[in-house]
Amino acid sequence: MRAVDKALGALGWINDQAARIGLGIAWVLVAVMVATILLQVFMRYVLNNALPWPEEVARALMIWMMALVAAPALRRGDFVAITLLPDSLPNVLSRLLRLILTCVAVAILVVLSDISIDFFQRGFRTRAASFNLPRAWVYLAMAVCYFTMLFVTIEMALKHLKALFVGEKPS
Amino acid sequence: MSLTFFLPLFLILILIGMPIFFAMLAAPGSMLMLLDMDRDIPLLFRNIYNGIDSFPLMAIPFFMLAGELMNRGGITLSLVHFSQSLLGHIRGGLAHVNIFSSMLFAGLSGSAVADTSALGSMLIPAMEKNGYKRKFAAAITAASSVIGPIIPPSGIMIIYAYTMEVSVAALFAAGLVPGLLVGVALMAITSVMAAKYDFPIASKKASWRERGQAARGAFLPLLTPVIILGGILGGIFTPTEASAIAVAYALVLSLFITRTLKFKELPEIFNKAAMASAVVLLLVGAAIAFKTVVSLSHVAEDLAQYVLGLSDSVYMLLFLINILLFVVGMFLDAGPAIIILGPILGPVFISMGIDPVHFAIIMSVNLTVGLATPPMGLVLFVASSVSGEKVETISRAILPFLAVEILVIFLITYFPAISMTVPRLLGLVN
Repeated sequence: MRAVDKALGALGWINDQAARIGLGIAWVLVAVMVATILLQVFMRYVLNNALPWPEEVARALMIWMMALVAAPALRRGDFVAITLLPDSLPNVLSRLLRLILTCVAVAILVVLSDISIDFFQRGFRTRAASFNLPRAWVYLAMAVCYFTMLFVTIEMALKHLKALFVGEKPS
Repeated sequence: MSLTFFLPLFLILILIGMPIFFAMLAAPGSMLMLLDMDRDIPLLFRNIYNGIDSFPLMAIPFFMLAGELMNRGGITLSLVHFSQSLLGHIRGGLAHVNIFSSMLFAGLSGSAVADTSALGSMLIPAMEKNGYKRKFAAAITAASSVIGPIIPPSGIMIIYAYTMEVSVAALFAAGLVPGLLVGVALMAITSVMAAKYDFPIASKKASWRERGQAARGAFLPLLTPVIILGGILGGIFTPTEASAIAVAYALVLSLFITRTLKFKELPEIFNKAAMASAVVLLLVGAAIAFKTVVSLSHVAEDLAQYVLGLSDSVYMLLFLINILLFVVGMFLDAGPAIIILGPILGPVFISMGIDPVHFAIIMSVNLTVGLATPPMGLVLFVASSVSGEKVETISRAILPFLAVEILVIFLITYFPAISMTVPRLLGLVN
């Protein structure tokens, strides 16, 4: 159990830092997204001279915004689920079920993280349509998204495991 | 074993408590693996990305942000003042004010949760002080908040429009009258209850001068729906552009005019909108991936055959589908329910001659009312946390209002003109 505690401590630290960095950047991305679209509105309707890049840039910003805050949202329990069954089962069964469900989530995120690296590397072969960068730098967001979510789910799985053996209430 | 099994597997996974995002990937993904179709798994991944990489979807974070900014900017207060100057003097005044404020708020925000927390935290204590039972105050707040996503702008309708490839403008136009109808129906039952149980009067009748003052206070906030809807329905802006303009307008209003918001509060508010929309975006992405497997598996055709076999009458099938949606809405939030069921049910009814926009409204209104139904209605939980009343207690007090809303759902279902007239007049549908 001590090994689990150590791992939990380390993962907790990693996830805290990832959330701190993610939330520190995400709000700026949202602000730039709004500004980009407003610029486009101004160019299109006032100056009658629409720019080619704002929509694609705003989309890239939105994907990065999502990638940076998905893990903190998952950790906070914001992902929608029907928890009627786990909530009504007796304690031990409920913890076991939560552990199994979290392990499935870990497995899914392992697959997604794995594919996301390949996706990132392939991204160097294509360039964005309206600005001079390989698409890989947008695709990288998906790798960040899934890896940070993976760390969060591993932390959750260990917490459920610990709760199962020690009998603490899972948070 | 065939690919069709992923649907029951998916149902089992969400019923045992797996987050919907993961269930939407686990079910088709594991079936593909079992059937040695591993090569299609990167396709599933790609479709999540393609699903999220969308300009129309950007309206979701922006409308969420605009709503949050309006809420913090003291705009709720001016809407309630305005409502009270109009309706405070009639019997059951504050109950009517609650419903009418929800209708006004609905034009600024596309979320029932925002409506419940903004109006509830102000009106529930005020109603209690005025002599209403707290559970009644909480119930009417929750019941009227479902107007939020029916009257445009609406997060749910943006999601529907995107996953089902319908025009957002047409859905926004189509939601207008149904939303007003829900509000009027709630006010009608409140009048009946007010007479029967002798509800209190909130204030003496306001003079026209006082009303004018209250209207001036609410004028700038109420310009928002005019700009958003006028822009979108008039074909001037895309919904995403309109939503960015709404954010800018809300920022100017709350930072410089009402001055109830400080610059240093902005990062937290922006991040709140970012996190809420990240969850929705991932869900939409997973839904697009899920949809590809639905189309690979012919499950939609099988299901359509089954549904069509149930009855020859479109009216009967619409009745059954409303029951199904209502039951689903009792357990699931409207957004995820639309994402899951839209691609499966939509094509069946559209092939029977129901207009895609009309079906979208039936589904959206039904599932939105589901936000206020026990046992798992999201706004019931929000109403409970802002009022301190138990969910069970509010669930009982809300029943008469739900009955009225169910009646409205059937009116909307069987009288297409209620939703279709406005989009038809604007030339948004044929």
